[in-house]
Amino acid sequence: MPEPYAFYFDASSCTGCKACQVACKDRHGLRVGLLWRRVYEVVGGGWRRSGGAWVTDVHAYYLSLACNHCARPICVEVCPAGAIHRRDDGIVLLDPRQCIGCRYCEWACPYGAPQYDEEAGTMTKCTFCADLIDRGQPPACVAACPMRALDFGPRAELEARYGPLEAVDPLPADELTSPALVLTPPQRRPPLPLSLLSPGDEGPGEAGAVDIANREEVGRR
Amino acid sequence: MKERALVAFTLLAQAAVGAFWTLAAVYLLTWRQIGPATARLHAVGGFVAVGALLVLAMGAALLHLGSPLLAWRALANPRTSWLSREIWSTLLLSGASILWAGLLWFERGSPFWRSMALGAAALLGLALLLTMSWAYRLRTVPAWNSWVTPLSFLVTTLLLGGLAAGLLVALTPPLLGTPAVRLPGLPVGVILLLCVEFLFLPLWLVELAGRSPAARAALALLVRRHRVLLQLRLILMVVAVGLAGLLLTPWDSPALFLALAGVAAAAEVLGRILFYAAYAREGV
Repeated sequence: MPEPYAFYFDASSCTGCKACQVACKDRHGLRVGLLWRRVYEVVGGGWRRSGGAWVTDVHAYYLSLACNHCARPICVEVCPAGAIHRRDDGIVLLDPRQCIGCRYCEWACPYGAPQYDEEAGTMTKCTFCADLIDRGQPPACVAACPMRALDFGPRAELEARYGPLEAVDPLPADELTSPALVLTPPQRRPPLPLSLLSPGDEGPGEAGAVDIANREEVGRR
Repeated sequence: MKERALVAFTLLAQAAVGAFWTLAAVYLLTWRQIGPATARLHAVGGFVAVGALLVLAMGAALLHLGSPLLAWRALANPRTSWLSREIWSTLLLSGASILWAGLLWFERGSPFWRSMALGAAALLGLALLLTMSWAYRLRTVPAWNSWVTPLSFLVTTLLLGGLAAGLLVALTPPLLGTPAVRLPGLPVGVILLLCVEFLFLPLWLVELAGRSPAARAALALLVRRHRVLLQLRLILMVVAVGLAGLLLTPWDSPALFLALAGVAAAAEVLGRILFYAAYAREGV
């Protein structure tokens, strides 16, 4: 059995240009409202009072996410019609001819990967550009990235090259679906101002809490 | 449309299962007292109404599909999908209850086989309830992946089913010209079930408060964005308890029972709308 494929994303070098998003949309002729690869604009932090001073831990970064072709794909598990399957090489594919459009996979997937095509009445999702992979070429999103922030390959190879998946907000816990995703976390400012904080200091929100700034664009309300 | 159709499907299916259980119990408890022929007539009459509820439920379920002509494919994956198992349970319950009503109506089969068909249908009703509950116990949706989901579905089944059976038991004898049958424990049962629901609500909210960010998002949806619906549901539940209490007094009347059924059903509809409104999943 071949080693399952995975995506790699380097959040420390992504500039949020969305070339990957556009390349995917163009390659698959996706209708308005469908984005198999989405670039999330993640924001967090704020101003905190520390004694007589105000310090900031404001931060922002991008996350480019498509289907993570999970090792334990919840979409495959819950689909009543058996319309989604995982190939031997780890690529999770959806057959729209078998999909009944119940949207149950959309409810279940923690990455928002399965997306509903209103016109067709069925779900759609990232194919990892399986046709290109089968011809030995990279997926369209990987090929389009000007910063080389995206890569793909057998998971073990990617982990050996870039390290294992690290917890990055707001991604869910790895054990939920075991995503085939290797990530380099975003660069953060040195924690100097936060180190000045003491437990009694005032601060807005939870430490580490983040929000998505472009919810409407990525289809999350 | 999706959630509205599912509110209708789940509530109608649960009411059908609960009414089937109640009517089967009424049949077993009263057939000696009112005679096998009358009990048979009541049971089959009730079955037709319960069947109509199930047909309505399945019709509502079709409305949420993007490709309803492919609905039959929902039977394809019972190996891993609780949703597929739910559809199997619905169809098997329909089949077993049609078999039971057929045996009863045409007076075919020995009492043993009729009991077996009745028992199978009752168990398949339970199977439908369990598969429906587990279809919502998604590990990525903390508000639904809770012990409260199967228990609150069970309470709704008993409450709506009991009230539907109460209506059928009240309506069938005058229509068929047969002796009247009463469900004496119904008001007390309704009060107890509503009290259990009162208990579940704060426990559910407390459970959400102590869990993941998605759970806390669900809590915020319930107590902030949908606060008015939550308050309205609580008010309707209190009114329903009051009306059920009045049924235990000399003011007991068919109109009062109808009002109770209407108010309790409205409270359950709001409860189910809130259940879907609490959807917030882990991740992005």
